[in-house]
Amino acid sequence: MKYLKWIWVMSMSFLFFNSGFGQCLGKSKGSRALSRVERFVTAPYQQEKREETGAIDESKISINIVEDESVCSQIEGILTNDIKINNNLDNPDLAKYFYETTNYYYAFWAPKPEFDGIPKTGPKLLFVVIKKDLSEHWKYYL
Amino acid sequence: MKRIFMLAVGILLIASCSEYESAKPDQDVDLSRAKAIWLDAQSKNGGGNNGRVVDQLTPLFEQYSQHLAHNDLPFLKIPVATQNRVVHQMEDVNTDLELGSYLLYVDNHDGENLYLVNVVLGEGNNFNNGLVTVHDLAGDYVVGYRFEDGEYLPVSEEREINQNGRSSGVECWYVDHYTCTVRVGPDDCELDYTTVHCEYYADKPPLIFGDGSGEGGGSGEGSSLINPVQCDDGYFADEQGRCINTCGPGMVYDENEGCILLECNNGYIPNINGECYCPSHAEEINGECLLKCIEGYRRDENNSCLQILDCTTDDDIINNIQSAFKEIWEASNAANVGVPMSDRSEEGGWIVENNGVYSYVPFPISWIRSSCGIDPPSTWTNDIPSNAVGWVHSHPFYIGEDRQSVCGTESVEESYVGGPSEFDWEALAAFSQQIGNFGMKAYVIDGNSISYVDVLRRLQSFNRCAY
Repeated sequence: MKYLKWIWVMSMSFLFFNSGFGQCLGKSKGSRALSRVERFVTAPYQQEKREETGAIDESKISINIVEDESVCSQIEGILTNDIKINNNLDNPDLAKYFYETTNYYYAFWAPKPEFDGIPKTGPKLLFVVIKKDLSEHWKYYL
Repeated sequence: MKRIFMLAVGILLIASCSEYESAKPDQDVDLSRAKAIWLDAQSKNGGGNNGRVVDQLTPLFEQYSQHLAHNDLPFLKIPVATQNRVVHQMEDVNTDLELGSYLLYVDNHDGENLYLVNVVLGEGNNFNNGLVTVHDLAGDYVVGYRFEDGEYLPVSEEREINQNGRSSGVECWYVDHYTCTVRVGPDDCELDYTTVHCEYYADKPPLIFGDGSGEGGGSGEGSSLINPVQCDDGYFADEQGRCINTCGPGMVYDENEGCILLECNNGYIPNINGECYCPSHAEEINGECLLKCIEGYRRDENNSCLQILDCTTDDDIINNIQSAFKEIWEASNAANVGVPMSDRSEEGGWIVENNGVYSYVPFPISWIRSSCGIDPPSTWTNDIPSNAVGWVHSHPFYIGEDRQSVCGTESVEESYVGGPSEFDWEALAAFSQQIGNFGMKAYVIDGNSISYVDVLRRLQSFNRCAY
């Protein structure tokens, strides 16, 4: 019985930290979110922003979801302290995504994965580009 | 400040090229005395002797005048004795005599004329702000300019002189308000509306010059125009030497000569006598005092003057379905910024082409509209017309509005900047792919402009017009 209790506690802890309750919320790979990062990295119309941030050599194949909880926590810190996002408003259709390429992190909002494949109109949303050493960040609405 | 005089001279047409000796004025000239000499000289000239009128004034000018030759437009200025204590005080510290009251001599095709120019400074005696007015010697207002931070605004004047000979009235000037869209360049400014500001005064000297008989009104040394009483700030000296409270803008005198606030409705403004009246730059229509807009402007429902824009664009679709844009905007319930954002909604539909004719087909009602978006059903692919060449939807907002609360997210920009979003472009890409037409365009209409984006992400913006 004692061991069963221990196993139950461990199981619950494992489920908690792997179900999105940590800082790395965007582990599910929304295709629309991914394509927004891809366009930032490669599309001609984003060239100006790439030059402004210095992210001119980031490759499409290097795009990945940020999974390191400590990194996600640091990105959250930038959003909260520097960008002043306090999570006071919660649009149920949107999710926050953290992606990375070789030298940059990308924190932004986009529709939840369940809306993939369904076009919709909507406002320009925050898209933050952060240097991996966290020394600089740039804020855009796309 | 000298530019102000040039402005006045410009309004009074081109002055002649007379030459005079420069002479620093050594004392003020009584305005009445100048007037008397002037009328006397005119009278002699009218009698056919002695040539130009100004020649008769030579002794006066030599004694008191200074010749200013800015931009080769010569005119004479004579500092004139005035009751305006502010002018006197400032003249003491301003040896260049750039503010005060002056006589302005103009010789042009209308003949020789003498005018009185008054220059007063704005709050804090700041030389960048103030008022210059020009009156003829009959005391009639000729022209005026208010200068604010280097900008000159035309001034209209309503003047009244009360029983004590005290001049009081209201000066009004127009201020144009522009919206500049940084996104498309610093010069892309549109006139939003024009407001009228009025200021009350009650501390100016009366512009009375006698009976015009050529005798100078019997004035001279010791004229009643000279008032030695000095009052504190906020007060002016009346003819009896009393210091009377100066009512500020929007204030009127009560029976105890105190200042009270007078409120007027329907576009009327208060005058110094405590009455609401319709000034000359407006007109009375059905009990309302409405602005008269200059050519090229129209009056809107808020009694503001809006610029009438050219409705023709180089975009065939916009040119052909202007009524659809109007329909979409009206359905968005965003007629003005006063409409609560939660009551507005995005509206939109397809732009289809039949034999070269464009028309608009609204999205089905199953496409859910809200203030911040349109959500198609999962069966959206069935709703696209095969002849669609574009789609259009509204952003029911105006540049600068904060729509975070209505969009339910802090990730929306605090200040609406306009134009298609990533959402809008993604929808265009999906629609284009679905029907195999990659020439489609996504049009967006908001409170300020119409813009479109194509699949190559090329963006173009147009003025909002009659739609």
